[in-house]
Amino acid sequence: MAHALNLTLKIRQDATAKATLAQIKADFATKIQPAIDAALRESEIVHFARVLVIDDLYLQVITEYDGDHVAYTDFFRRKLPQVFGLLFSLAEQPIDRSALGDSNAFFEFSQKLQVRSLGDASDGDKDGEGNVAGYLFSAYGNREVREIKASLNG
Amino acid sequence: MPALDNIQGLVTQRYAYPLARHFLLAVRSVDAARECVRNWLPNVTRASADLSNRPEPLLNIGVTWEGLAALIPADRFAGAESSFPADFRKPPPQPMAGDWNGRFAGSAVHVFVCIHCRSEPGLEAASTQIRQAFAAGFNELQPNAEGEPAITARSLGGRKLHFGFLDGISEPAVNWGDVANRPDLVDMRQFLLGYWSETTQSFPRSGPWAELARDGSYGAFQWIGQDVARFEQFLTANAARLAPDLPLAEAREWLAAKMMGRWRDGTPMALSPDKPDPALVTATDFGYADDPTGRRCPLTAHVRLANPRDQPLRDLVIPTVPPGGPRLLRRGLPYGPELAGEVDDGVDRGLVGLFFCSNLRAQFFMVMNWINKADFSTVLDVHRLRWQDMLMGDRTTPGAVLEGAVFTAGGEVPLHDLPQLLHWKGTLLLLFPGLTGLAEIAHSTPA
Repeated sequence: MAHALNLTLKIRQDATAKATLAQIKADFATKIQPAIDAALRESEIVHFARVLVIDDLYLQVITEYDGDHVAYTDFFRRKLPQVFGLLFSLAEQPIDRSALGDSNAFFEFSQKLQVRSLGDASDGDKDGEGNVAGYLFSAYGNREVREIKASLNG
Repeated sequence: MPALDNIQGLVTQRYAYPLARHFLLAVRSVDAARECVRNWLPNVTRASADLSNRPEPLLNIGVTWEGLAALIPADRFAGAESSFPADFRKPPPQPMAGDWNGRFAGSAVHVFVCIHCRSEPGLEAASTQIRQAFAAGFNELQPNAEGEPAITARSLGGRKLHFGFLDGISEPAVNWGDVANRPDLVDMRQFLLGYWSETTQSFPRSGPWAELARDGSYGAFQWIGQDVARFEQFLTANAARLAPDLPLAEAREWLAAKMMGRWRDGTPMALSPDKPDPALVTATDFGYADDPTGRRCPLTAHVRLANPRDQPLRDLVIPTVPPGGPRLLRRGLPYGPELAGEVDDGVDRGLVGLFFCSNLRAQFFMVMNWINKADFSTVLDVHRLRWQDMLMGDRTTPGAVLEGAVFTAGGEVPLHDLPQLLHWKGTLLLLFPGLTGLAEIAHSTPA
């Protein structure tokens, strides 16, 4: 069954962060979204993905994805370093820029931002820390993106 | 450039000794434990050691994350957690973690001492010496309730393992000297810590913990039971159906080779799919690019998953593994007596293995994942992404499909109900520090 990424960062409330956030909002559809879209498509493991800003206080990246947590994280770190550099620069305790090139630091940072959903995964799925993941409903059982796409095309 | 006299010998070379014993130790008295390690530092076998006169014992020491925490004073240990990767700090997942015969948890192990010997008297003498020396600071954890309490491995003759195949044929040739322009050799950064690079990342990356780990290597120690009777029964049950034109004995060998990807004498299926060839038993110069359907070597044969060679990887996988794919340095010997025939005698037997690498996630766990879910390569289509290693897969993996396929003269034929042939008795994730790092651990005092 897919895993849930509920990456949630608290946005720093200073002028620099506010200006960056405004720029992200302005550029998202035309510049950021196409880059994310291409990487998601290439990965073939992400079911759904979206980016939210809540009252300019929180930014969320929410996805449902297949497979290994670290492989997933590292793929997008390598594919979208500028996007994540921009998004993570908003955090109250931003990631060190050099960590964007460091698979371990990037994974640890993303784990700190992961919010566990309520409840427990009914299939015993584990989160990136090896603990029982939060509840996630799937209408497709444990079918993966590639299997679903093949079914649709078949 | 790494210094060979700072690297533990077992990392760089496979000891050609028939006997190995592995002691699992828990710190009882911290000061005394450090002193024990200090006293034995001169006895640790280094990569630079001259083994031509076959000294015994050859001795190497590994430390678990819990061991580092126990041996290094708490005020100095601060910061280690953010430097060492979670894959080393966290316990391995089940069923790989095992339960050590139900006698203790893997997290109870602090220090791992292994000795390799060429004679039984030498093994017993060295064991007595080690037990006496380490008793001052450690309790010996005893995974075996009866007989010899430590895990002892004994050669079955040469490099033969319990399923009858030869071990260690495709040992990576490593560029230990970090010599420039040697694309024919595997980068030593895949095995040694302290040499982080953008493409071959290892951790700790920098700072004092990277210095402590420099020239060390992570070693995944695995104690694995093998169900030889079940394997042989599976061959008998399926061989005649798959290869009806061959005599049963030959058909069984052919099927065994299809599952492994090499004949039991070592001949690669990729080079000689119809019969073993004495000239090819140690052949390593081959690939799978010209066999994308598995006509010669099945797509989920063990060797093809554990080392895909030139087989194309999925886009998702490429950036997450070292250039050339993940490699491991394997050190293994069998334990338990050889089984004659295919009737289960109830005797425990299997493999004691150490798998060295610099990044447990990108190498060791990556290969283990591929063995349990062969979805890493573009040659495996969507209908086969839940297939497993026909020989070594863990059939309890959620969603696993216990199917395989082999090509016969009549085309591709399915294999159903692949059996569970391995039982993980225990796995430890160890740091085998360089000699400097080991000395630093053994000499550490509160700040």
